[in-house]
Amino acid sequence: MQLFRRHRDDVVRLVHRMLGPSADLEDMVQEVFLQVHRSVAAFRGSARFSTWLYRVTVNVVLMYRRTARSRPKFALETEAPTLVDGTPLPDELVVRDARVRAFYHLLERLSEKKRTVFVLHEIEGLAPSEIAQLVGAPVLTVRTRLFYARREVQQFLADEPDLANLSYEVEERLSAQISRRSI
Amino acid sequence: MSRKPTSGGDSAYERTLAEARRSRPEELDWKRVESRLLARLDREPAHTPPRHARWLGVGVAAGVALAASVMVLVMSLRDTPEPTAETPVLPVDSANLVSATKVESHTLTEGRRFVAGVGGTKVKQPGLADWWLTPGSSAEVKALQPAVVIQLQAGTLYAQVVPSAAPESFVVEVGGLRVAVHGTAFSVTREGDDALVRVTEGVVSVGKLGQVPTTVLRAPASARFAATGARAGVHRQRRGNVSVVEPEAPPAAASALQSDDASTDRPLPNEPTFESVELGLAVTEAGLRDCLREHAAHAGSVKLSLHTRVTQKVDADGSLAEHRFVPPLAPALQSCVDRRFHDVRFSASEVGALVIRDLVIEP
Repeated sequence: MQLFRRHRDDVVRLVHRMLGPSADLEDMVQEVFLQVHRSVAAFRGSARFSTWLYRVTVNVVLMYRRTARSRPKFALETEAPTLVDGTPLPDELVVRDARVRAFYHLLERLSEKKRTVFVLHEIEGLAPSEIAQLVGAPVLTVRTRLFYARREVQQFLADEPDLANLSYEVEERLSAQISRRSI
Repeated sequence: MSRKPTSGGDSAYERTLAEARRSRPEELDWKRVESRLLARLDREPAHTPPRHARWLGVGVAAGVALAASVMVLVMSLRDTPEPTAETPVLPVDSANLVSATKVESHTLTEGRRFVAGVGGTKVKQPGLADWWLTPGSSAEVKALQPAVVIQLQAGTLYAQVVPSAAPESFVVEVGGLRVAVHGTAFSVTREGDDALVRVTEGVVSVGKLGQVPTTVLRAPASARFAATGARAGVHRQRRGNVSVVEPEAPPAAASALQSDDASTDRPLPNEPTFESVELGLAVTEAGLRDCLREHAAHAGSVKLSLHTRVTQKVDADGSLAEHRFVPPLAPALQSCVDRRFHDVRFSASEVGALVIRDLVIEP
């Protein structure tokens, strides 16, 4: 349990970043530490423990996503959080949350390999050499996946002006509210 | 001076990434996670011993298994009184079913039927549930996703279900009844058209098939139900092992939840109990599913599913003060939900709670 208490924040952050805000964090964290319990005997200390834990976490998340993908899917009524124009300005946090959810929804369009590399580098901030260790691929392959993933995400954002503009709109409306109050 | 909106260029990319980096995971109840993790670790098999010790272990295990099989055979020849509602019985220990036919989860398929032989049948679904059929019992696997649904046709099914954030991960259907489980140890025995439900850990909810649950059983308790969902009598064990039989009660609405809580003499907890929240969410989900089904009837051959985040504000008296959905529901769906959620109750508490859950509903 000491292991759990020491590393749980790192694990929950990585799961959150890999799956986005809608993730069932509690289940995933349990699953990660269950895997750690099962295979900690195989950890030989050739890598840092944190690297090994990252690898276990990434594998659990990928396994979860693989299982989720294999479930039957139907046409969705409300597939992603909808960013509706003309509604009253909700709480900024809610809007931010909706925006991050929408962004993760866009990331679903990437292939699994590119998505993993993209999230680990661009959001979690890992170096390509670290990612290469985690996913078991050459560094060059990681860099290539990252290059194409970035290009695709930029294209997705260009195709989704609602998402791109929302930050601007929120800032505009908030600053308008603030200036009204100060008057 | 304010920036101009972009149509998805580099600044939008950087801004969105920065926001994703700043996004923080929700606060988890670490004590609860830890206790659940410990419960799961307890059920984990021991680590594989080194090779030289393994053969010794196999020899010892074989000896124990042989001895246990002989004991089971001897025990089965003796007259064992059938447990009744007046004597709550612990679920069978797996050691008593050492000679049971074992079924691994990967061989489970929907529609598979089990008829337990002399040693019974044990099914292991790691991370989800272990369940046993006593000798002579029969059951059929009706569904494996999103919840495991077992139809008990005869005999007794014992189950130990791993607590899960997803409500109702394991369901037993018996006759016209539906026994839904919220991470618990329990058993269901079919007796003609009646069902005897015994709970030794956690909570189960019982109701008629296709309807919202009407009764909640909290461990340690047992109750007999008619196929109509009517409860014939509940036998509860209180502290000090004093047993109280509650009078016969007609099936109430989902508000039975609160009446169950009201029967206890403990001081009010600070928040509604975990089980009551899970059950309230299960009722919410069932209501939402029914509404979506009605709504989907107009959609023709298009299959609909609903992804939404529900936020429920629960008052101290356990009533539902407010519920919101993000993204918002279609107006017709919202009014249907408003009608159905009128009676949803949680357990009473000192301060109430704010319950948030992401739901995926398929009709």
